[in-house]
Amino acid sequence: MGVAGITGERRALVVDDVPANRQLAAAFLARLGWCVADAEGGRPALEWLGRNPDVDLVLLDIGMPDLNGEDVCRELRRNSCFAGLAVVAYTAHALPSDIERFLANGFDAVLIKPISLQMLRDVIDGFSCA
Amino acid sequence: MISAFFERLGIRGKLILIFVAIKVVPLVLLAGYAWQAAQGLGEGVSSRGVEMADAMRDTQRQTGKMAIDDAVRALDERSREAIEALTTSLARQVADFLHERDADVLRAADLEPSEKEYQRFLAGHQRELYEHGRYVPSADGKSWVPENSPFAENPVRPPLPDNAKDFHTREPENYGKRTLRPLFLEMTFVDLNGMERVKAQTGGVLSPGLRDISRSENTFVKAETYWSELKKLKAGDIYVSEVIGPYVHADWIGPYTKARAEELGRPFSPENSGYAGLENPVGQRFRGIVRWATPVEKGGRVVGYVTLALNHDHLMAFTDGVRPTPERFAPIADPASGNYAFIWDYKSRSISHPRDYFIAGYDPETGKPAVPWMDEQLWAEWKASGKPWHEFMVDIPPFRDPSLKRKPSPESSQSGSVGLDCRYLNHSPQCHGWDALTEHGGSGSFVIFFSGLWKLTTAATIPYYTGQYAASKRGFGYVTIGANVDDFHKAATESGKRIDGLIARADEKLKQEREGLLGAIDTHLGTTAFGLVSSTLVMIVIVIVIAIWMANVLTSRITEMGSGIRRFQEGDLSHRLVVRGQDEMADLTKSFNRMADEVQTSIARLEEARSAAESANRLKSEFLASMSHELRTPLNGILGFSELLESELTDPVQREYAQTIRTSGGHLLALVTDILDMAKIEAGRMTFSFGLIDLPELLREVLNIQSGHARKKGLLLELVEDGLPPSVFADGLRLRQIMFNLTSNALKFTSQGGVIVRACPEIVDGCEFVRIEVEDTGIGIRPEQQQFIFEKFRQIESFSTRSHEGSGLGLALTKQLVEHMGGSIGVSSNPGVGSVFYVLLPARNEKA
Repeated sequence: MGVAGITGERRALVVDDVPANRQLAAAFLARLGWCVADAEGGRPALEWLGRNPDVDLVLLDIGMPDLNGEDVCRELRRNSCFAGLAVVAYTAHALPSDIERFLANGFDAVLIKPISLQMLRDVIDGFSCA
Repeated sequence: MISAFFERLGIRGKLILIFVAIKVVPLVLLAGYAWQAAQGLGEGVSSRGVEMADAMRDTQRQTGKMAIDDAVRALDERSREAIEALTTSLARQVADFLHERDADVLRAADLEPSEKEYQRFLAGHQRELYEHGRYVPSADGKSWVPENSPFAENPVRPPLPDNAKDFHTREPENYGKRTLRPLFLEMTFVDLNGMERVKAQTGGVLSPGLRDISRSENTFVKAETYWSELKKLKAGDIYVSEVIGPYVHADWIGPYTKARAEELGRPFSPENSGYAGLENPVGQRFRGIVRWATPVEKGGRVVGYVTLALNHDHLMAFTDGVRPTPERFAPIADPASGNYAFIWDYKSRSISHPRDYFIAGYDPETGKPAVPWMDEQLWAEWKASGKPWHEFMVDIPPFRDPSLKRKPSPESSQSGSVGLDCRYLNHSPQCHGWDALTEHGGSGSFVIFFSGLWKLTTAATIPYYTGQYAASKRGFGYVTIGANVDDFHKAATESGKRIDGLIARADEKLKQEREGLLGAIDTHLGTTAFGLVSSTLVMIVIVIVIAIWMANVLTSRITEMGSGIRRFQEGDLSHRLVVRGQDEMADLTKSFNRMADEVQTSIARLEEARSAAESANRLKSEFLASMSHELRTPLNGILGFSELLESELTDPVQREYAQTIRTSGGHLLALVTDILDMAKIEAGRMTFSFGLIDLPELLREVLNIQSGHARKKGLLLELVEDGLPPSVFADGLRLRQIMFNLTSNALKFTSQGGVIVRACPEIVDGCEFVRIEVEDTGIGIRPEQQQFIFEKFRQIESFSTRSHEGSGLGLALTKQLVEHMGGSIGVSSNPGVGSVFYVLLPARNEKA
């Protein structure tokens, strides 16, 4: 938020190995006025984030071939550079146990696929309020 | 009670109890039986012993009594026979004596009637009489004793041994002092006018001087009436008179002793009272005669009559000394003993009696019969008649109802005139008996209880039928003998007494022996009882010890088995029991081991199955999760991009296509969601968080969400606010989902009208519930379909039409949710009119 405050633009990273999902989330965020980057796996995401630490929001898919979204999140939470980063699980794992686990492992929110614009807006609004 | 106690016992206790019961009860029963038998035997022997002893004693008694009775009877009969024989013999002797007098008188008729001839005749006819000598009162005055003891002792020399058996001697018969006395007191010749022409006398009893005997007052005792009879006699005929003599009175009847006189307060002058043998040996003698007469012929013509007056003493001599006892004969009679003989004339008057005052004589003053002894009744009658006896007696029938019950009249007894005339002696019924015995000239006897003694009394006709006696069947009269019956069988009764004594002694001895026997039996029974009881007790103790030992042996294996089974139960499935021996316990152990094998295998198999099921379930869950994931991923693109398209396309047709894609995707998503929910519920992985939910707010919220949908379809959607329960106990999220499903369905199947939601409290089975209803005016559900609509993947027919798309899981899921919250769901519907779905949920936490 701080970044957005400085640049006047909120920046988000969408991480998903499925291109359509990456595109959709990016399109929704763009529609909501976000500046969106994307990454096709966990490792590229971490690399990208290492270079761009001023990102406000990460939509992180869980099941990815190279690096699991949960591992990515754990990595991010370990790095104090990303203390203000909102990490949202962007996943089709809809079991309540999964959701609880995500929240417990450092995710700030969970977006269950399929998402709608409203759902995304609600999650982002939730952060704003917080 | 007993069974409860029995059930509380352990197996060991039960076994001991059973063993003891099986062995001890029969033991006790056997002991009891043996004791009973022993006692019974003892009692039997005792009672039999007593019975035998009693029977023996009774037999002895009976035998003794029978022997005595037989002996008594034999003796009585022999005595009777002897006495009857004696009686007839006496009667015969009397008759012979009288016949001799017939001969005398006939011979006298041949004599020249002169005093000289007659004196010579009288002197030539004498007969011996025996006199008993003088008696004097005894020193005590109670009896009479001979002045001089008449006999000296004449010891008989001892018999030779050969003669010694039943050697029996008698003293010489004591007849008394023998004297020759003239037979006749008088001999007369009476002319045809009744004048005595010749008279010769002896003894001085009759009056001397020649008289006119045609007149009775000139005869002996003025009683002779022979003149009238003499005139009827032809030559050779004999007249015999009755016994005639003056009656001798008695001062009293019975012993005439000084003592008796004092007792009666009378002067002691035995010489003035009638002679009575030993009762009064010095009394006045009866002096009587019997007169014989026969015509005297001279030249074939009766010129007169010769008479002979027999001295009555010679008649008396036949009976006075007779004793119907072993004594046989005595010089003096003993009237008090009851053993004596006496003679009655053919009219049953006493003419010879040991008591001379009993002889029926004549009153010398009147020549009439003296007044006899009478019973009370006859005496009273006679006195009342005022007649002289001889006139009175004519009207009294002889033997008028004689009976022992009659008593002699005391006045008659004391009058001194007690001659016996059996015809009027009604207190002596034996008179009637004698009369009957001799009725046809025979003899006989009977026994009568008289004067305090049983007396045999005999009577025998004196067969003398001369003269007037020819008219009497009993001839001259009859001899009777009275004998004390007890004297006959004295020997037998003595023997009886001795036998009784012997039996009593034997009985006493028997009693002692019996008591000894009973004592021995008692002792024996006591020993038997002690032996029985002690041996039974010993056996019982042995049985109990054996029972405990056996129970221990048996139960140790059972407890061992029990602990083995317990080990198995507690999870040591590989534990097996040790098999010992070949018995049923071994079989049981083997069976258990086999069962344990099977259980172990089964448990292993179950364990496998369980883990298989668990892994299958896990796989299923994983599959569901993965499917959900895999479906959601493409749906994400489909729904997201269609949304984008919808918002970005300007061409309405294109936008509608995009919308259609989104709607279809939405359905697919709903399906995926429902499947996941269902899977979660079935896997038990859906979690509920219960609490009291603000029902009105929840319903308003749901209706608010659905209001857009309703408005789009132009339907009324209304919540009935009245009577809404304030709260319900449920999971708010799930209840919202339920209400959302139900209102969605209602709106979906309703094309006009509307949907009304209401709620109210309801009591079911005593618990408070909340009933929530969703009522629509839709197409309704046919009754046959109503039962299926809550099943999974069931859609009513109309669901398949394009206007009612649905997963087919909504109502099934709803039902599962409701039931998980402790409630129920149902429907009532009218096809074409509408449906009412209702949900019942607890109003409060019932468990709390």
